[in-house]
Amino acid sequence: MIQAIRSLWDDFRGAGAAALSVPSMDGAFRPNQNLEEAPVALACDRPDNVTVAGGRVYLSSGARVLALTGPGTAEVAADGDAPVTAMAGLPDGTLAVARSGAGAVLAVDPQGRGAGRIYGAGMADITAMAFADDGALALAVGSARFRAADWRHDLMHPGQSGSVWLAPLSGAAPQRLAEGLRYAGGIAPAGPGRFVVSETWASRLVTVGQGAPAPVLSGLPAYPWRIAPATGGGCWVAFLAPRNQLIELVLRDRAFRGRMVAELDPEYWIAPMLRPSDQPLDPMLKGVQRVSGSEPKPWGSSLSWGLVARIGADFVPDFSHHSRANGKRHGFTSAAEHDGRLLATSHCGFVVSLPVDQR
Amino acid sequence: MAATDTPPPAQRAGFWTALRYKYLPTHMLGEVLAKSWIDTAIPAVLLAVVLAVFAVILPGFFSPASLSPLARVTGEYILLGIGQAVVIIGGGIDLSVGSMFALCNFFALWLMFTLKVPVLLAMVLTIVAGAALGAVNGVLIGYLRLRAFLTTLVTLIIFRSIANLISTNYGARLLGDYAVHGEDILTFMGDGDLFGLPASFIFAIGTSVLFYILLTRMRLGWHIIAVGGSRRSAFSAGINLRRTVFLTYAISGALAGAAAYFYAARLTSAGATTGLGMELIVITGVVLGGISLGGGRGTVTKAVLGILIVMCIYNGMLRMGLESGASSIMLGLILLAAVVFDIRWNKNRHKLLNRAYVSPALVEMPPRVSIERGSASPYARNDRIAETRPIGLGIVDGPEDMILDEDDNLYCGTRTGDVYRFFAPDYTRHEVFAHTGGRPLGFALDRDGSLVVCIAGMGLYRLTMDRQVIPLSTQTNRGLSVIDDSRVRLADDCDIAPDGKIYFSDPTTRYEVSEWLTVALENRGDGRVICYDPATGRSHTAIKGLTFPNGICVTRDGQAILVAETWSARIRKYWIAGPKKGQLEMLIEDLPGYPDNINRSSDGYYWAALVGMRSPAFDLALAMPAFRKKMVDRVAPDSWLYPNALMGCLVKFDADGRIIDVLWDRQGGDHPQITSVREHKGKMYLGGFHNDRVGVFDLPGADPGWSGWNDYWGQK
Repeated sequence: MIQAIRSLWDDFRGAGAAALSVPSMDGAFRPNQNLEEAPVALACDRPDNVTVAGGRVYLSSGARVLALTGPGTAEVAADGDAPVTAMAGLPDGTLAVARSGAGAVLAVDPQGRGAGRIYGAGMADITAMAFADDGALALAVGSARFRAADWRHDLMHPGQSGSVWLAPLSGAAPQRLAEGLRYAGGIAPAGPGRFVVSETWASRLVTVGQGAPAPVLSGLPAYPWRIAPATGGGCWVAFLAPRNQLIELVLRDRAFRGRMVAELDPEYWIAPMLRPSDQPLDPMLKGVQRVSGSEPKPWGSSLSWGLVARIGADFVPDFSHHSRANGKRHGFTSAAEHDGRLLATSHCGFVVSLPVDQR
Repeated sequence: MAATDTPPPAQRAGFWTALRYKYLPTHMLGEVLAKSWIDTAIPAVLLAVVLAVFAVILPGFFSPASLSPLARVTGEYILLGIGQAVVIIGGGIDLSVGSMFALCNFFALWLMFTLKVPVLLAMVLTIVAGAALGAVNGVLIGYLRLRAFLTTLVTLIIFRSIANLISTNYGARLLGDYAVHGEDILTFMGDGDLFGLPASFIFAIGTSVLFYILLTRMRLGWHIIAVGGSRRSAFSAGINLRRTVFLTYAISGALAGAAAYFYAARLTSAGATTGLGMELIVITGVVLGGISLGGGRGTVTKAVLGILIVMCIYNGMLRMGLESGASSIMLGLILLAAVVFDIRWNKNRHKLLNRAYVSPALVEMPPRVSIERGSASPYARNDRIAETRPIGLGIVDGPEDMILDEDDNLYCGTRTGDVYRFFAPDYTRHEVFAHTGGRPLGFALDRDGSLVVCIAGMGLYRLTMDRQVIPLSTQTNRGLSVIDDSRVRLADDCDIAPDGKIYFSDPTTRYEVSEWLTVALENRGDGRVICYDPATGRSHTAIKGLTFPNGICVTRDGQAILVAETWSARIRKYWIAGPKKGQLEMLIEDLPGYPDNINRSSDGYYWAALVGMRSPAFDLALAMPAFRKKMVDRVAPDSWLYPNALMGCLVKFDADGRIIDVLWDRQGGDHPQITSVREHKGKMYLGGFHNDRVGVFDLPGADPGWSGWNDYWGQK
C-alpha cells in the first residue's frame, strides 16, 4: 500500500523510479572527438564485431566474416546464410562465430580440436562470446525472446531475460552462469572462472561466475555493449548509444511505448540509434537541431553517439574515445586491441584505428 | 519500472479523451499565469476565502453593526499599510510606525483640545508632524546610510519613550476641556459616515488612489521602485538614492500622522498602549498582500488587500474570544507563512509558468505518403538540387525568405534584424539595405517596387526604395481570448492581392518567433491570417484557428490565397473574391512534410518549400498529448522530441492541389533547412531560417525571362 502511494507520488513529482535523470558524460567519459578524427582502417558495410585470432583481425559484416589483409583492405574469411551475431578468437588462431538462430561454430581451429563443432545450438541468439583461459567458450545471450538484431524490441518490452553460459571445450552441454539480466551485450574474461558482462539496459557492468551476478560498475552514461580485454589489465567497452531522458520517458510511458512498438518501424522508434539521425523520417531531438549555418552543435542532445571506454582492472573507468552529436561515426559496437592499436567498429561503416595509449 | 511491464496493446485515444483535449481549455491556465495581475489575484482570492470562513463560523460577521467599527479601524490601518508599502517597495522597513502613531495622536489631541487649533488645520499639522518624525528616520537611513531595521527599531523605542513620558506627565491635563474649534467636523472624522462608509475609510481609499497613481504613473514612484529593486542600477541610472529613500520614510511618517489623527478623532484618548504592536499588524498585512520584503516589488492594491485580510483575521479572532497573546501568535505565524510563500512564489513562478504554459493538443495526422527513393510516390526522394551556389555565405545569418527586384538585386532578412541587398549580377557585393529591429521573414514586391516585409515581433512593414521603414499593420481586431490577440506577434509571410490588400500570416498568438518549433509540439490551432487594407489603413483577422499558418500566396486569378499550415502539414485555399469569397477549402491534406513559404512558378504553378518531413515518432506523439505534456514537464528541453526541420524538399503543385514535381537536396547537402523558395528568371533561390547562405541553382526548363514582379504587376 505504502509502495503504491509512493509510486503514485513519485509519478506525480517525477522522483524516485519516475525520475528521468541520466548520468552526464564527465570524468573519464569527458567527450572528445578521438573516434571522429581517428584514421580509418577499413570502410565496409555495417561492421559489427571485431576480434583477433592468431594474429589476424577478423570482423563481422552482415553474414560475412572479413579478415583484414592490409590498410584499408580485407578478404572474406567466411560467409553464411544468417547474420553473424558474435565472434571470439584465441591466440592460436581459433575463431568462434555465432550466427543468428544457429548457435556458435568453431569456424577456424588449427589444432583440429573440433572445427565445426556447434555450441548452444538450441539457445536464443548469442550476442557476445569470449574464450576463458582454459579454452572454454563463454556465451552471452542478450534476450531469450528476441533475435539479436531486434535488440530494440527487447529494450522496449523491457527485457530481463539475458543469460550467460559456459560451454566446456569437451563439447558437453553449456552450463548456465547467470540469467535474468537486462540484456547481455558483451562479455570478457575477468579472472579464473569469472567474466565481466555488459548488462546493457541497466547501464552497468556485472561479473558472473559462481553465485549471483555482482555489479562492478554502475551508472554508466551510455548502454554498454561488447567488451574486449585490454593489455595491462582491464577492458575496452564499446557503447551502443548514450542514455537519454527522452528514451527514459518512453520506457516509463506504457501507452506511448505500446503504440510505438505496435505501429512504427523499429528504425524510427524513439530508441538508441546506431547512426546520426539525419534521415527525413528519423526522430529528431531539439538538441540535434541546434544549428548555425549547416553545422550541428557537438554538445546537442542525441539518440546516437560514438563511445569506446577503457575500464581499469579495478573496474574504474580510465578514459574514453568519443564521436559527439555532430559526428558521422556513431554506434560503436565492438573494439579489440591488435599490434598496439585499438580497432573499433562503427555501425556507420567504419573500422577506426587508434594508438592503444592515446587518451 | 517492473520487468514484466510489457507494452499494452496499442490504443487510440478514446471518445472522452478526444473530447477532453478538444474542449477543455487547458492552454488558458498558462495564459492566466502569464498575466501580470496574477500576483494581485492571489491576495484577492485569499481575502475572499477569509471572508467566507468568518461568514460561516461567526454569525453576524457581515452585519452593519459589526462591519462599521471594523471599517473605521481598517481605514487607519490602510493608511499605515500604504506608508509601510512605500517604504518596503523602496527597499527599507519602518518598525517605528506604532510609536509615530502614538506621538501624532498625542500631538493631534494637544492641538485640538489644548491649543484649540481649528480641527481641519490640526489634521494638516498632524500629518506634517508625522512627516517630520518620519523625516528623522529618513535622514538617518537615507542620508546617513544607517541600516533601516536597526534605525527604525531605535526610533521605535525613542518615540515610544517620548510618548510615554508625555502621556504620563501631561495626559490628564490634556483633555481637561472637551470644547474644540469645529466640533461637527471632528465628530464626522471620528464617528461620521458618508454613503455608509466611515470618514477614515473614505480618506484611506482616496489616499490609495493617490498613491496608486504615484507609484505607477509618476516619476517619484518609479524612482522608489527602481531603488528598491536594485540600488546599484538605480544609482547608475542617475536616481538620487538618498533623497528617494528619505522621502519613503517621510511618506510613511505622514501617513502615520493621518491615521493617528483619525484615531484621535475617534477615541480622543492618549493611553500608554496607543499604537503598541501596530507594526506587526501592518507589516504582516503588507507582506500578506504580496509586497516582497526584498524591495522593488509591490503595488498599493496589494497593500490594501493585505491589510483587509489581516484586519478581518484580527477582528475575527477578537470576536472569537481569543486572548490577545494568542492573536499575536497567529499574526506572527501568518507573517511567517506569507514570507515563506513570497520567497517560494517569486523563485518558482517562472518554473510553474513554464510547466503550465505548453498545452499539447490531440492531433491525428493523416497517413504518411511514402518518400522512398525510387518509389512511385510523387514525393520519392531524388538528388535534383545537387549543384547550388551560395550567396552571402558567412554574411547572412538565417535568411528565412528572399526576393529579387526587376534589376535582379536580391533582398533577404537576417537574424540580427537587417535587410541585406546583394547586387546583381554576381551577388558578391552587398549592403545593409535597412535595419528593422525585428526578425524580417517573408517578403513581397508591391506594384510600385517597394518591399512589403513581415517582421516577426513587430508586424507588417513597407520598405521603400529610399530605405524608409513604414509600419503598415501592427495590430488587428481583438478577439475573445485570455491573451491579448490584437497584437501581431509573429508576422511570417505575406502576399498582395490585385486590389492592393495585403494578406499575411501570424502563425501563433502564444509564442515568440524563437519558439516556432515549440508551437509544433503544442500543435494547437492558434494562428491566423490577417488582411491589411491600404485604403483604410486598418487590419482585420481574416481566418482564425489555423495551425501555424506560414506561407501565403495569391493565386494567379487573384480570387484566392494559398495558405500553408506548417505544423498540420497541409495547404489550404481561402477565397478572397468571386462567388466563393470567404470560404476556406482544403487543397493538399496529406503532405509528407511541413510546408513553409509558397511562391509562384514561371510555368503557372506554385512552389512550396517543405521545411522538414513528418517523422513517424513525432506523428505518434501528436496523437498522444499526455506523452508530450509529460515530456515538457520532465525532460530537459534539449532532449525534447521535435518535428524534423532539417531535411526538406521543394514541391510544385497547381491551383487544384495536384503535385506536379518534387525536388530533393542530396543527403548532407548545403541546405539542411529550406524555408523558402523563389523562382526568378530561370533560377531558384533557397532560404532557410537557420542557414548561413542563400542558395541558388539553375532550374531546367524554367522561363529565363519570368520574374515575380512582372507576373504580379506587369502587362498581361
